Amino acid sequence: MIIDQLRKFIAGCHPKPVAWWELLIMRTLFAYVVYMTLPGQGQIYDTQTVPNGIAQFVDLTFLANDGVYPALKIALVIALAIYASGFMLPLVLPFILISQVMVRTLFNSQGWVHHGVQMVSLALLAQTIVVLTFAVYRLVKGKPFPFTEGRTAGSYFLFYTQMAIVSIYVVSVVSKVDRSDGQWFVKSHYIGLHVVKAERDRYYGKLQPPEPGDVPAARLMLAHPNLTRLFLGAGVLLEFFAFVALYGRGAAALIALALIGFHRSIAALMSIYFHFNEMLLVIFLINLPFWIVWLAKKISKHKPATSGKTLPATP
Amino acid sequence: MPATPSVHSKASRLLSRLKAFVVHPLGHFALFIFFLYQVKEFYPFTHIPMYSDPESRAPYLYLADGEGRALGVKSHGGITNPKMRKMYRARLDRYCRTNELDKNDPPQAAIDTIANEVIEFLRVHADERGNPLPATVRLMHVVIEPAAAPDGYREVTTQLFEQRAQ
Repeated sequence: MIIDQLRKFIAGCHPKPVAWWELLIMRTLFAYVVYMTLPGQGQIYDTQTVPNGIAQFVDLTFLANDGVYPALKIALVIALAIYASGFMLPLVLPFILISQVMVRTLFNSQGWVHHGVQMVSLALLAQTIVVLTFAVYRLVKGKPFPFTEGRTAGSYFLFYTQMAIVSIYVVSVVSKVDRSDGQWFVKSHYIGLHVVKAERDRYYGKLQPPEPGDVPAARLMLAHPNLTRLFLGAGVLLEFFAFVALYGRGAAALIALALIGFHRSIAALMSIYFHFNEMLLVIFLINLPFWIVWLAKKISKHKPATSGKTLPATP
Repeated sequence: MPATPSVHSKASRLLSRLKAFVVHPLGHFALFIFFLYQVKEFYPFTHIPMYSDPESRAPYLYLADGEGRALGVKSHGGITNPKMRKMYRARLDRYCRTNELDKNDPPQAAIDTIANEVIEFLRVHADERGNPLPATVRLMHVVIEPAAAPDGYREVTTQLFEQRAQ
């Protein structure tokens, strides 16, 4: 029984047909999100003291030279507008990806690694790989890729974007298991101490009241370790099963809603926000426009049947 | 040789299963997770290490003036408090690695060098933002550790470094 369900699940984890207007809305919203990830001029540093990513091989401080970043931003806005329209994706996506990765890499090469934007860059990477794969296929074979079962390039575009999104959650579980030598659940109540740390970090950023004081949530977590393990363990299970979102639209929407709830509870507890992750969950996994149209179609299908009972159709 | 076809068929069955795994989207997913975890931190790739090994002590830093009054890191230097801490830690680890020192017990000279570097970074950006730091700035280190009920935790504060601007 379970084996059959598992087989059904594995067989169902494939790209599904997707409408052009869904992709248009997704690309438009995502273009805006990508633009939002670009830091202000004040955060384009002229040093890369602890180089991360490609900054280990390339000096990215040229971005801080006079006029370079503003010009790049203008070029990116144009590229993002073309991207949103869906034209020339094999040309504009690599440019958007490389530019965004360069800018964020320089930002992350000062000694800190900020983990709030990787999901956006990984989604861009997945989309770039998909469009380039089909473009190369067409170039080499001289004909378009033979899609089956109603799929299009957009189906793969969406599916692999979703895969990039959920991979962030699943890899975090792998890290928890490996880095803690399998002791994460045993040690998890210590996160209470980190709740205090997060509260202090909040205060010492801008010295905004309330001033550092007692943190009741942390006290509760440390006083009730088993309850804390249960609560935090539920979050880890959710992260692990995030890949279930690849099964279909319903699963994707449910998993995304749960993950947004997970992010909101972390924000309430520790003032740690993952706005971009939440935005991507809404755009690519919840995909609200689809459900609105789906519901509208259901209602419109239902209407003639209801009216037919009271007003017989003319022969 | 009856054993040979059996070995061959087993090998070919294994190969076909491996092929099925590699071409299936979930196979791509598993390989990508493996790749992400191996690469660790190489933007845009990450293995999301935050809170992956909850320790029984949580250290944080804050800035203070010469009188010990706290200074807003974000308000002055434009970066958050956690970023200042990560910056200090990453630069100190790097310094220890380069100079073959124990990063878990760095000498005061190494701490002074890196703390001075971090305050200098903040001072430059505070000037650019038009909210300069005072002449004397201290980098304070606090460790939060478990304690007996009813508090459940306590904070131990030490001064890491004091910089007096020329």
